Amino acid sequence: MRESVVTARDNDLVRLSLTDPECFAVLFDRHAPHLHAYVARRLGPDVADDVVSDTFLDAFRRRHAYDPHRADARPWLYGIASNLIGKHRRRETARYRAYTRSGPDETVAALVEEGVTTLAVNRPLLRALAALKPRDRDVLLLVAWAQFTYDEVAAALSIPAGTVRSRLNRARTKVRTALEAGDA
Amino acid sequence: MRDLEILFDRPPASEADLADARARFMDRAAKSRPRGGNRLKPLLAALVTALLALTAATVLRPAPAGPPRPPSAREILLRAAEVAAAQPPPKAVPGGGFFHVVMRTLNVSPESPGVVAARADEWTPVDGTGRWLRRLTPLTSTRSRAESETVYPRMCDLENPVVWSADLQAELTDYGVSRQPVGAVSRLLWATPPFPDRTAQLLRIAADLPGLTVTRDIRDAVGLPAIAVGAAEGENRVEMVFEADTLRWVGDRRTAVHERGPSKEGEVTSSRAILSVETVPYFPPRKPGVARETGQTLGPC
Repeated sequence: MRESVVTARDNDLVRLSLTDPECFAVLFDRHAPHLHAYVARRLGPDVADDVVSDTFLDAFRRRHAYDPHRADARPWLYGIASNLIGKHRRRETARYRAYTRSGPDETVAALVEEGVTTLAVNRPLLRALAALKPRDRDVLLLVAWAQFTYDEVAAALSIPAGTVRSRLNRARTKVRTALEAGDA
Repeated sequence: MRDLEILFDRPPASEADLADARARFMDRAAKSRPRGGNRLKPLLAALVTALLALTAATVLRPAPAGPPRPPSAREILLRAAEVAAAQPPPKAVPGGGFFHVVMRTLNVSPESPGVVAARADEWTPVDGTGRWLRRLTPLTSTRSRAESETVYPRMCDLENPVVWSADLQAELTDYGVSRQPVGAVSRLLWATPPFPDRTAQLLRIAADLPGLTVTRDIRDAVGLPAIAVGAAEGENRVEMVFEADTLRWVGDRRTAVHERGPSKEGEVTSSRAILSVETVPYFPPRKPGVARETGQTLGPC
């Protein structure tokens, strides 16, 4: 199956995996590349392997409870990943703060080492990200980095869409304020 | 916010990047057990629910009212037709490719005691022309059945929704709809998983059949909760099977109307469920160690 371009919907794969567990590997191959990049942006690449592996293991164990109406499993997977990222909260904020303290050369060297494609960091932005409440940061980064819609964020974090809007507004306001203060 | 969008931007992880995480996941998944093994939890939840219900009934004393009427066979079929119509068809691949449909079958076999389970994979051309393949993988050991592959040179018209008539009357007539209406609809349904519009159309036709009844609280061929709608036709009761919670059509089953051979009255003699539908770009190569035979076109054409 791995050699073919598998285009079955995620809910079909989850259903299929109930009797043929190896089919869950297709979900891994489909979503792990972007999920890994998302986690690496938040926690760094060295932790991303563990979080991605744990995310899919947790999902595999809960697959009997997967909502069969949901053709796209990304909100489900990123929701599990967000919970796991939450356990590394201090590491995440320490990572943002470390970049605010490092000099330009150190920063570029660290970014190259990480394998990122944009060798620039905005220090006021990093300070703002580190200062956000974790639940507001989850919403902001699912939208900005995972390109989730409001409904997808709501599904991922099991919160109403109205709560997504209010948390996103609050986070954006804080980030914007920090950026303006940084520019001044 | 552009600064935020590009912050720490990185390409998706490559297969090599993910090799360790994938290996770790596969290894731990192979050893894992589904969560929810605590048998006390459902009992306690049921007890709490019962106590709350009893308290509410005592305090509120609602006016006497009967239980809600369960949906009729016609209502189930019409709802299932809506569910099918809302499903997107499988994604296209460059060059057309093949539909790959995976199903699980259960059959009472005179050769071995109990029920024989198998997985069937079918690859049919998206445009309905040319050869197609069926691979059968027994999941229960039997004396005479081994994994097999059969290539058919072309699709029978009745199994090829691409060439079906708009109103389906010709196809239903060819399958003997006047003698066995549920059987005829069921046989056509079996060709429609990659064509959800056709599934919906057939379910709407089935909703108008007379004499259909509902069998509740059953399990489909995969073992998931299901509900069935059908009627007795000949030696069997023939039923269309739907997921219990979504009413998505998942397959069919037959139960013995009378005791016959190894089957007792009311026992399931065969059951089939669709597991997945996808589109793949090429005809699958022969599976190592499995003989590939050439078959005759199945069914009436």
